[in-house]
Amino acid sequence: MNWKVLLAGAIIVVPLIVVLALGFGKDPHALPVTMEHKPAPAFSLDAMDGEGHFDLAELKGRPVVLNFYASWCVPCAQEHPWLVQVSRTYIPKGVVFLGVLYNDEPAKGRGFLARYGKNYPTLLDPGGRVAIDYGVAGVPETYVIDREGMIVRKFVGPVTPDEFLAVLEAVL
Amino acid sequence: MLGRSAVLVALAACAVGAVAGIYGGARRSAEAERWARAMAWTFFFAITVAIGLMEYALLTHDFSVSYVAKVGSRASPTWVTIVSLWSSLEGSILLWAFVQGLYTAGLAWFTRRRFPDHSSYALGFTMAVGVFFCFLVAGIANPFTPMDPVPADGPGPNPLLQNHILMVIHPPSLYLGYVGMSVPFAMGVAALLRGSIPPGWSRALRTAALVPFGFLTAGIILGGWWSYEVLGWGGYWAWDPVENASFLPWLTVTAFLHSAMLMERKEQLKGWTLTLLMASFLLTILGTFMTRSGVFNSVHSFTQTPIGPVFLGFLALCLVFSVILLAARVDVLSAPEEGLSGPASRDTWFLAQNLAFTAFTFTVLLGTTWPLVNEALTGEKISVGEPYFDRWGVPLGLLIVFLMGVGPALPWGRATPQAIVRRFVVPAVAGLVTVAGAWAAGLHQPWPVATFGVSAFALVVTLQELVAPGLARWRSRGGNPVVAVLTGMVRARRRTGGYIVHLGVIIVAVAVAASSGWRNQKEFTLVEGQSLEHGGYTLTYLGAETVQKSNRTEEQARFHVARGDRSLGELHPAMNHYGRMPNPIPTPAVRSVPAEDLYLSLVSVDPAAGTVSVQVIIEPLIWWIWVGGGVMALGTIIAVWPSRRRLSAVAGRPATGRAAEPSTNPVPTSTEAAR
Amino acid sequence: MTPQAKRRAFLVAALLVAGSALAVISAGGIGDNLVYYWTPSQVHENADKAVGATIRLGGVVQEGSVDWRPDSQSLTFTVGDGAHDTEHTLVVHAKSAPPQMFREGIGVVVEGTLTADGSFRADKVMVKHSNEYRAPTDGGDVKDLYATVEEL
Repeated sequence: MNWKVLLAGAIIVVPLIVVLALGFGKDPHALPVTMEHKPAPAFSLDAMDGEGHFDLAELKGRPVVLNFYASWCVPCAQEHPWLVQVSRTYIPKGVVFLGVLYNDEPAKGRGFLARYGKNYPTLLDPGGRVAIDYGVAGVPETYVIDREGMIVRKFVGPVTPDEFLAVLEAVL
Repeated sequence: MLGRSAVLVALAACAVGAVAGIYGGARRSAEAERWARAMAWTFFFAITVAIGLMEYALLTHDFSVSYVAKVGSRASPTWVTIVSLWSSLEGSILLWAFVQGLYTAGLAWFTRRRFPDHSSYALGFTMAVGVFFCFLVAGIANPFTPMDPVPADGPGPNPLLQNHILMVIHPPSLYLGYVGMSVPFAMGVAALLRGSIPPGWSRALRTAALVPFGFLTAGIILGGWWSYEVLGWGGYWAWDPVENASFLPWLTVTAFLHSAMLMERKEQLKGWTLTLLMASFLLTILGTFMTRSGVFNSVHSFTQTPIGPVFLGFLALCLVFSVILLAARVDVLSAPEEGLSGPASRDTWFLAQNLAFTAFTFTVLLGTTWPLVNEALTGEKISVGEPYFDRWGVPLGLLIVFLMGVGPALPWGRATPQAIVRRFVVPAVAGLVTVAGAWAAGLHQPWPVATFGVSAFALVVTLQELVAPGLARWRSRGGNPVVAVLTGMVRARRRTGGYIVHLGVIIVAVAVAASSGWRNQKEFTLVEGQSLEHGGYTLTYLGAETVQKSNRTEEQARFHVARGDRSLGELHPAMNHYGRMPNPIPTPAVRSVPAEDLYLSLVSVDPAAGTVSVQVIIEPLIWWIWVGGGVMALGTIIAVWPSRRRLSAVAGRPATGRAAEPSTNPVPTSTEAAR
Repeated sequence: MTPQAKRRAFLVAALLVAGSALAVISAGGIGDNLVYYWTPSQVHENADKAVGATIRLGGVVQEGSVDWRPDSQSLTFTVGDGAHDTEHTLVVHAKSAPPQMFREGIGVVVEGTLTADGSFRADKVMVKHSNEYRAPTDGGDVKDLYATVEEL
């Protein structure tokens, strides 16, 4: 065993591995400040097909699930049937489920709902103003807002089922 | 289902082959080695079937296969569909495993009647690496997961990757470079475990490393070219972690190729040479990790994937294995018979070349990993700016070009002062004249002008060396000098190839210096009909039009280009809108001629108001970077190409099979090992 | 000295040169060339080291703050942490046209330096269709593109 070689190798290799390992769990693209644990930005939007007008301020006192989706987005289609199913359990318990159509035309959104299921209203967000306020970078994104109007959890990409249910139980 | 089974067969074959090969090496068991060989072929065929099935699924739009559902689209043109195999993680890992199979089969073919001492180990370790990638394809990154429900259509691959035809060859070329490094690595491990590097094995090692070197070179240059043609910022190299990832192993393998010559000729620096070889492989794994883990922040940023931690584990395993193996076995290799021959010999300058490349490697590695170090220490998010890399990369690059001139001009062993003066006068004068000429011509940027001078120096030396063997022949035998020179070049194929690679490097160095030193960039905002003048060109904005393509909507801005009174036609830089993606992507328009490129990239275009904002960049000689890359690739092919004489020597040798390899005979090059 | 000792001395000297060169690189080179990824409020917090450093600033263009003069190719706007931020704003000056999607209330990433007068001089202005700060890239965020698909 050549100890000099071993030592030199260890000096280079060990810190490299440690640094790379520490790099995990940190998304280099992540926002230093996230939207979580902050008051949800206000919105006041009309729902598609005359299903009413929704204002976040008026929904205070009830937990809200806000799901940004689009008909052209594959992961949205994957999570949507499951979300509809969950909403059937939780809407009776007082949770407000709202979809927000992101960068899409109402007609295509309607087709999407016909295909993947519908149990709650979809809001129209002209110009994507609300999406910008919420910092939506892509769809799907799902926000869980508690009774006080605070964002408890933000899911980027399809919701992770177990976590989503746990968060819902927590805000009930 | 079938695809998955094929992958599982490949995995099993790899695992059995790895065990058999290593056992066969350790026990010198011919029986075990036969098993390893059989498994190498099984691995190759199984993984070929798997990748064939995947391509078939892509081409037939079989959306019940998860990977097809992820990247396939009925709207995509056929070439995009074929290429989408490597447009996302799972597919590229499958391609990786396939290339590993290809190389393994190549190694099995190449060593079939030779190197009985080393081949079993080498096969075993090549397949051990294969086990890891097959494991990824079979498990975590399985592209064959059945979909339920089956989608009717898919999204198609990432639009940026559909943007340019270079995407067809750039990634496979890089993969061929990356994966190919596992073969010389396994061969190096075999040499360490066996405790000997006979000249035949050492030669084979060099060729086995030349193949991935060639592919890496091509991959890097093509990547730069792609980035230039697609990304719209007018550059080709940004010291992005992913670019660095391919550059690092290139640096170490280049250092290896040089110190291996010293090892082959003088039995020197064996431990160091093998260290460089192993580092090259380890850096390819690190590079893949960087690209695929999402730990680094880069243009090619992939999201954090589950394979990250697994990859890190593999990387750590390889690192620890290599360090311990080197430490344990390096003293077993026989010591050199003679030392270095003093400062005025080629040997010493090879060592200097090695040090320069190693320093370069460390600099780049440090800058690339520093953001991670910093975040671990302070929690702050930073990146290391290009100025850091430029500050060290430019002088080191210049030093390397300089060494390319000094080294070859010196003889192996000791040189007399007169000989040194004779060899250096012409190149040195050429270099000085170039600097003086450039300065007199009004080029007053120190680094680029220095690069021109050093390049001229190195160029003359390289040309001298290219023709030297032929000229010596002509002097002694007479005849036609041109024929003599060409014959000399063909006879010494390796040497000729090496110097042609040097020529390519010199071309690239000059082109990089010129294009960055005299890059002339300005932004303009125009209304329809308005003209701008920049760098001798007159550009007139003719208006915008919307063009509908199968996968995108292009907003093209039409510019008329003229130089003086001469019309040069139109350029159409565009803003591409992909589907419903919020951000449009500018696609530049380039007028490329050997002297300089005119590069137009849109900042914004507003057809309603009739205005356009455009970035106009003029970059001299940039075209020569791609040419230089081509020359480097050509040189590598020449160096690797098996010479007819050697091939016929093999054919003529009786197939006695297990006979010990003759250590003095020229041993055929190992092109097959890599193909 | 014997030839062996000479060679050894030569090797040691070579290694020393290489080693000290590396030390200089790591000590002097990196620290001066860091690029910080900050939001406007973080710039305010780190005011002491912000001036002169290269910063990639991620924030939202404030309403009513955009001033674009095509004739002089100069663009001025204010960014804040959020869409309606009054506390942590920074004035940005850029010598470039507003990028295609640039408008009030949109997320931008601006690369440049903080000048002594407290304003931000930008070399590059990039639009993020989001007020969430994502580490920027030269060629557009490929990750964003992954969410992009054709019509179903």
